[in-house]
Amino acid sequence: MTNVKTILFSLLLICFTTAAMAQFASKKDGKKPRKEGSKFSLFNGGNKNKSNTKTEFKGDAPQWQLGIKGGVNLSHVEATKSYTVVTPLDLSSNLTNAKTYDKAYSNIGNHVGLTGAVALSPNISLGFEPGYTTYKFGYENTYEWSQFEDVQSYVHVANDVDHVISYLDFPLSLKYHLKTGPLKPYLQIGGYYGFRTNADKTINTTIEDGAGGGLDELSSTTQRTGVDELFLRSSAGILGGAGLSLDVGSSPSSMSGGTDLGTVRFVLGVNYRYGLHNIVDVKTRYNDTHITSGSYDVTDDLELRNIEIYLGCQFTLKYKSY
Amino acid sequence: MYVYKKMLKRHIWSAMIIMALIGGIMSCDIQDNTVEPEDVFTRVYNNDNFSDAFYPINIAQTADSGYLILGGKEVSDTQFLSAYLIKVNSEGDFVWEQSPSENYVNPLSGLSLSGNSYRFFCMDKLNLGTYLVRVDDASGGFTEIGYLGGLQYPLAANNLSGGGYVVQGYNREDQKTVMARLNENAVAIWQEEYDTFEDVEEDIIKHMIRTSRPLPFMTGSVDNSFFFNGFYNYSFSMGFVNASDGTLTGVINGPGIEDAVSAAMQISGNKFAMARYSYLENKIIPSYNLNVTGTQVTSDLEGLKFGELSQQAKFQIKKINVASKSIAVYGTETKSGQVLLLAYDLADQSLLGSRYLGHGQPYRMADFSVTKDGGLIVLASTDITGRFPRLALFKLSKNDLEMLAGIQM
Repeated sequence: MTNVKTILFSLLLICFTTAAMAQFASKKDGKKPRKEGSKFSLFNGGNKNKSNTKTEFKGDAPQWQLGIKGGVNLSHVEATKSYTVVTPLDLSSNLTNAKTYDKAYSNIGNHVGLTGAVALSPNISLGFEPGYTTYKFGYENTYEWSQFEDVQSYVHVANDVDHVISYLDFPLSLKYHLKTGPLKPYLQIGGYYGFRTNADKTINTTIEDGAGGGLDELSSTTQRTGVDELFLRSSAGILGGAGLSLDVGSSPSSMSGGTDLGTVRFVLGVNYRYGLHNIVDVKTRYNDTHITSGSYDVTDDLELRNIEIYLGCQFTLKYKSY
Repeated sequence: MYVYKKMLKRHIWSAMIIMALIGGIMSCDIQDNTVEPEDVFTRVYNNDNFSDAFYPINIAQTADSGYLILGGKEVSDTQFLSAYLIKVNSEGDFVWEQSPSENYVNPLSGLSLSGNSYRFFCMDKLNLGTYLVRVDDASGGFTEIGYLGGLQYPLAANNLSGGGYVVQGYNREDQKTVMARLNENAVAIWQEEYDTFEDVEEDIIKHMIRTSRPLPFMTGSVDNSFFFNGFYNYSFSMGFVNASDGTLTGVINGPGIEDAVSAAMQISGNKFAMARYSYLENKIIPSYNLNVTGTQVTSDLEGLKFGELSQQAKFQIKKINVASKSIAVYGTETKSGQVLLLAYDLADQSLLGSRYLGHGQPYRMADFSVTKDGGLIVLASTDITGRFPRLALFKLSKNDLEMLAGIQM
């Protein structure tokens, strides 16, 4: 509940900050407030400029935009260094106890947040898309004990380990529109900073106990633990992606009433995020003895990779004539 | 065009400032995220053999900063544990394992460095005599230094600061506890016997094959005396003997074997940090002035009663200097199957800190020692998935040890 409050408060704060930035930009240009290129459509509906003539606004394009976006995350972690609790005594055996990570980008998380953009030129814009992002990843490790002469002396233990980590993300990107007009494909590059809000680890242990007379899977226990301390507060990386934007609605030059939303931009895109550092807090790797000495699980050094697919819509706060 | 360029420049500057601020925030925990793999780790050494069982005894850090672990392994042709050693590197990765000879059983605590190799005592499987064995930690090779056929049932051994060893055994024919001072080559300088007045061979065998309460046999030196903790005068007693000839000078007697000293470590002079068990209770005595030349009884050893400790808890006490503070660290085990470390200030005997190791599976204390990096290595036994007896290692960092000593909160 606290996390939800934090997220809502943060989103609200971001919303106000973005709006304030827009107003500030407006006031800076506002030495000539009624001049072309400084019209606010979403919050003032263009009412104050009703008297402007169509020809005066010819060529107006959205400059400041704010909206919402959301989508799915296909996450993957790259183990840059492996750690283990259960250490095999026979180096030549297959008993490596290594973790088998889930297939890359097979775990689906999600993200939701604001999307803001400032046009720097007709083709280039700066995007700031703060939001709440959830990444998922997992792995499995198995242990087996048996005796050659005795088929009943057999125990197989499988640990299925899943992680869910949530961040408040603050990505900043530079977007290049490949063409002008209402339908515009674009490419973007940038970076992001994430502030970890929550992390959970779930260990599902399944035992097959031939020694106890079992012929099949005997028991399955699930242990869910909050592992906030196991992951760094910060996550940073670079991103690159492509998408398509579609401008719909009236431009200031055709605004006629207070209910007019002006130009609404719909965006559909995909980004690849590449984490630049180990997200695991190496100082706390062994702190949770429930996990390390109870479930024999220790987290590797991990770098985050993510494909995000998103859909969003942006409302125009300010227009600019180019 | 000039206006666009100016505007672009302004936004780029803004973006750079924002990124720099973000970078500043990030750098706090990302850039500080470093710990050497050898500083902290938890390991359980396992193989996939259903019937194998390993029990830890002793650990020593080797010259290459790795660790040599002495333990016992269950074998099929005797109930005694066969001597077993494994070498791991500084990060806890397995290097080699050896079971030197099927005749070497019941290895004793007291793995000691001598020259470039390590030595330990163990028992002959059939004749029950005492071996001194040398092991090369680099290659895993073994050499038998000496065999003492007349020193049967070796129960405890310790290396002496001036060279040589003191070993405690049991003479089954005469029903006497035996103390022997040996030189570096396992040749007896003197050997003395002390009456138990009853046949305790069965108790000793049960202790060795782990079918009864493990008995806290120990031996060592205190100034000009040696001591033993073993059977004497119808009880499990702590005896003090003259270092030059083995003459008994003092004793702490208990009622039978149900009340005795569990561990003792000399602080200075006659002052000792001790632990004692009394039937189902365990007591910690951070400081006690022992009379090494008189007779005392275990009930004199009042202490702090620790109800959470396992009724058959094993104790190790070591004196450690942490950041110029001198502390006594007790290593023991709890009823809930955790290893417990307790740190007492040797200046005022106050409890400075505690640390529990292991959770969810049973862990039992075996040994611990300070490492070259100022941390602590703790050797324990565990039952992996609750049923396969294996060796476990906990490496604590220097910071962890300082926290235990109450220096960092």
